Amino acid sequence: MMKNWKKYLAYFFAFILSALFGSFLVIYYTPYVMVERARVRTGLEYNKIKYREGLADETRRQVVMPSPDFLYAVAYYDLSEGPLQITSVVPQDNYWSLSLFHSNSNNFYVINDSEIDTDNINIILSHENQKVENIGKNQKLIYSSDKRGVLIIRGVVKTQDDFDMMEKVQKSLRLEKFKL
Amino acid sequence: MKRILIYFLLVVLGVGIGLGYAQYQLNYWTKNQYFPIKNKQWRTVPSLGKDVGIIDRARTAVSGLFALDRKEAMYFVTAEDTEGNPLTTDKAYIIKGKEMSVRYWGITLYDSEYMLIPSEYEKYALSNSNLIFGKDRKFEILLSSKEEKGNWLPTGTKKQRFYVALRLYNPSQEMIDNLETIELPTVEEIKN
Repeated sequence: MMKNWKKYLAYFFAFILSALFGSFLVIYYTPYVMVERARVRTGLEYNKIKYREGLADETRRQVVMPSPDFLYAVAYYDLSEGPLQITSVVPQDNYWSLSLFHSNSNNFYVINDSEIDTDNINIILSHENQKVENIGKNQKLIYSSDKRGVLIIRGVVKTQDDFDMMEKVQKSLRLEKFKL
Repeated sequence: MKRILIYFLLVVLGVGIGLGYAQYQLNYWTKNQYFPIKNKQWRTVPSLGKDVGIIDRARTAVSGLFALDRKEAMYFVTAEDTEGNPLTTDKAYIIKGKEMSVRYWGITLYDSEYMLIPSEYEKYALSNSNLIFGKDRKFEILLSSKEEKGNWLPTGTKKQRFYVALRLYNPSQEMIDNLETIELPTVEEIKN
């Protein structure tokens, strides 16, 4: 037994390293799996916007901790075929935000209505390997390190008037190919 | 040949145990709110959304997918009352607090699976835009299965543990820097 201690030590380390590797796989890939699972559950296709009908209620169980006082619009983007242009009307005096996430749910960009001087937003979203030049004066250029990710618009709804207004704002959202 | 087979089995066994353990741990952390930052009964993680470590990223993905960066929103969750007892739908609670200096904030109840609690009243949240405030902008919210007037949120008829989430939008830098000490509402059990 004592003669073979090196062999058993090697077995031990092989087991431990394998267990650590297995744990790492779960921890690292869980966010990717959760993001993709939410896409499948909501039936979303890449580069197509889903305008959520109505506010979240108990029947909305695709994503954990839904916020029932926000109207959402969601799109999963894919930059494989080039940059995308995101445009939307921006409401006045009502919390509204546009956020961009990597495919592991990392929120790499967010802007809200109080940070926008105009009543429109125009964003060019590109992968960091696809440089974009000559953008318009009123366009913001955002680079993503990930080709795939998620765009979420959140708008607070306090009253029925807010709801009607925010619904129009959400439906003004466009996600289109940007011509270089 | 025998040694290769032993290595193969150990690697398979190790990876399998590692996968299972990590999955169990992730579920355990989520169910038990093992978020490292504690502010009295509330829990949060050091940074949510943007560029967090892989463990916090995984925890957040499971219990709060698509959380925003801290500068945009802060999220606090509690599963216990002021005495450290689990929040359960068969008891009544009162949330006491005062207006918070953020642009928008809201309190939402979630069931044991982090989903909105089913009830015939379809009331899930209250915010600074629809709460009835008292003197000095103080407020109280009743949490119970029985319908109440005023600031009230139903906990539903199914007996289970539940969570209270507090979302604060556009917090000040001072709040972001003082997660453990900023003044937050309290969730107390109402004892007969």
